[in-house]
Amino acid sequence: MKRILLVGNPNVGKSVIFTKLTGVNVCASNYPGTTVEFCRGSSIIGSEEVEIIDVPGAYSLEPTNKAEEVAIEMLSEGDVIINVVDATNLERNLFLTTQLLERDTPLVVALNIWDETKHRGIEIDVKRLSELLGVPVIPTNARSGFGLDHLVRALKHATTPMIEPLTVDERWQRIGKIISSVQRIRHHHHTFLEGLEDASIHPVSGYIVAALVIAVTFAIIRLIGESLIGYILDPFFEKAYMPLLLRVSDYLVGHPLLHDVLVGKLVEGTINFKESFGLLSTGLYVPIGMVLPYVVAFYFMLGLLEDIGYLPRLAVLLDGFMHRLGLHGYSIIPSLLGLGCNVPALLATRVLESRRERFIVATLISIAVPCAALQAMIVGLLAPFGMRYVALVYAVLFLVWLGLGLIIRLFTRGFIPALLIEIPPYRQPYLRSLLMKFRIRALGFLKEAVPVVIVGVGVVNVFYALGILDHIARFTSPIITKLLGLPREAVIAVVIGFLRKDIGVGMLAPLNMTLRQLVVGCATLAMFFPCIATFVVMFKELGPINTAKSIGIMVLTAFVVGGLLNALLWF
Amino acid sequence: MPITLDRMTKGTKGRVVSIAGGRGAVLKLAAQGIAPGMTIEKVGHLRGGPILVKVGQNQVAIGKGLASKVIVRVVTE
Repeated sequence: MKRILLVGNPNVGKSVIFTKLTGVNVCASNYPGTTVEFCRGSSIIGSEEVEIIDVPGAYSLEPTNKAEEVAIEMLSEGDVIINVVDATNLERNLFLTTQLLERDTPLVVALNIWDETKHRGIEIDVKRLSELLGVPVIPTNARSGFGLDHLVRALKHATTPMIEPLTVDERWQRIGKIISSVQRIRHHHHTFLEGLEDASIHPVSGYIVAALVIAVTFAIIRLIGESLIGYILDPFFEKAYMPLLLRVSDYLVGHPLLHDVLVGKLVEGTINFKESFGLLSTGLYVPIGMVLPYVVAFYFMLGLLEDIGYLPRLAVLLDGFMHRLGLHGYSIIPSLLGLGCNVPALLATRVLESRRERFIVATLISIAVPCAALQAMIVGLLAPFGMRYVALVYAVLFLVWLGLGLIIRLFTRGFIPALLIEIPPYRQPYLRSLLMKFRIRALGFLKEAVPVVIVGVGVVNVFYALGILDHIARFTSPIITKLLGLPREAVIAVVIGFLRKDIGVGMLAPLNMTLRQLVVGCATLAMFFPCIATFVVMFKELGPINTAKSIGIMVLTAFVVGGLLNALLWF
Repeated sequence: MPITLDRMTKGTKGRVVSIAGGRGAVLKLAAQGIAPGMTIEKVGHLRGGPILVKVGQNQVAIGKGLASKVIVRVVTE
């Protein structure tokens, strides 16, 4: 089967062309030996079935990061290359194009985002460009589908001039000559969007925009999450699932042990999804009924901000601040991801260059960035007493994140790598690629979380039945009761925190704790030990020694801060 | 007189003379159009942090440390 590669800089609409050209596709498969993701799909061109691969975005064929290394390796496996080029930023894009022209794989150039050139006052002589490059050049507008049929027809004219390799200086000279003979830029009035682009990176208004964007994003996440719960999930669990489960409960009445494991304990004569703690009650309700809605909302909004092109601006705005923590601005992106789930967040630290930086970011994420699941549980537990107590826990976590960052920075050696990041123009997101990315992330969460939660609930039940928990409780009770001021039974929650922090926090609910104990418990559990999935990823990413260090910092921080909170809280 | 990019005044243009950095820095900058001979415009400077540069239609943010390795000659129009 013929293999077509989509190659181009990041943010040039490659994935939109990919979704338009392919029918069935598999995405987010990792390139062997790496976590660099790419998409693969198939399509019929003429009467021939072809495979289409969306190669990770690269600025250059001299690799400067992992994704570019993968991109270059994939190049030799293709029969034809579609080089997707951003027509509004032709000069920079031609750097990669001229490198492709040196190779032996035939190519065509898709001059994408063509309609935007008019708004930005750019005129490009396509025919002349094609002559100068020596390959077909097709203007396209992937989102509307303009030019794609033409692009597909041009594939059989794909060719390569195999020009002599150039040095960097020669390459830019050559590009300069091409640009001056094919591109003309008219003076044009700034569009509203361009005004917004400038305002969101301006030293003053940039921070106002950032605060607004973050506030609106979280408001929308809450709105989506609460609506999903209120209108869909709670009615489903209460009206459809509850009667079914009650029947299972009746049926198991003669088998108390099985009843406790599957359905859980009855609270006031009926099933309580949050407190019963059976595999089929709490084990399903927590991941699907409480956590999934917020995860879904979070990933949707994150994908939206990504596709609009806002995130690089946030990274740039925060660069100065993040330097104080020994990090650079880009590390805010894995940290934000951590608010959804810590696992992809730790994987995302791979884009950071220095080992020290990865250690700091990973440690800070697993201690002080609560995942959506954990947040849902904290809000569920504390919100009835007033949102200010939820805010208190968030404030404690934020201060820990800051303080710990400063401390770890002082005690680790290494350099802060320099920031170099493209500020892309804002683009209207393309719904189909947005939904595809969203589906991958949401499914990833379900596959990851549901089994672990169910196993976690199962383990608790077994431990409970065997009396192991009582042993652990007796053994650790000085720390829990004296230092943290929590009831002895809270040990169980802490132990479960090793598996999943959200369930750990959830287990505090039936203990009839005071408000102060709840705040201490939530904050301590949030910081204490990563959940099992995060732990596994951390181990793989950081290695045994750094993982041990990181966990040491975690446990110490959790008990010190928990103890301080217990001593200082006034209520 | 050549100066480093971080000392350039906002709104001025300059021609890159050389990059006083390692191979990695040189390659990364080059791919964004910041290479000897290229004309760049400094469009902004964030407090304590990155410098915003325009090369043709391309806008790039460069951390302060890296910007201090880019040597430019200011172009007066």
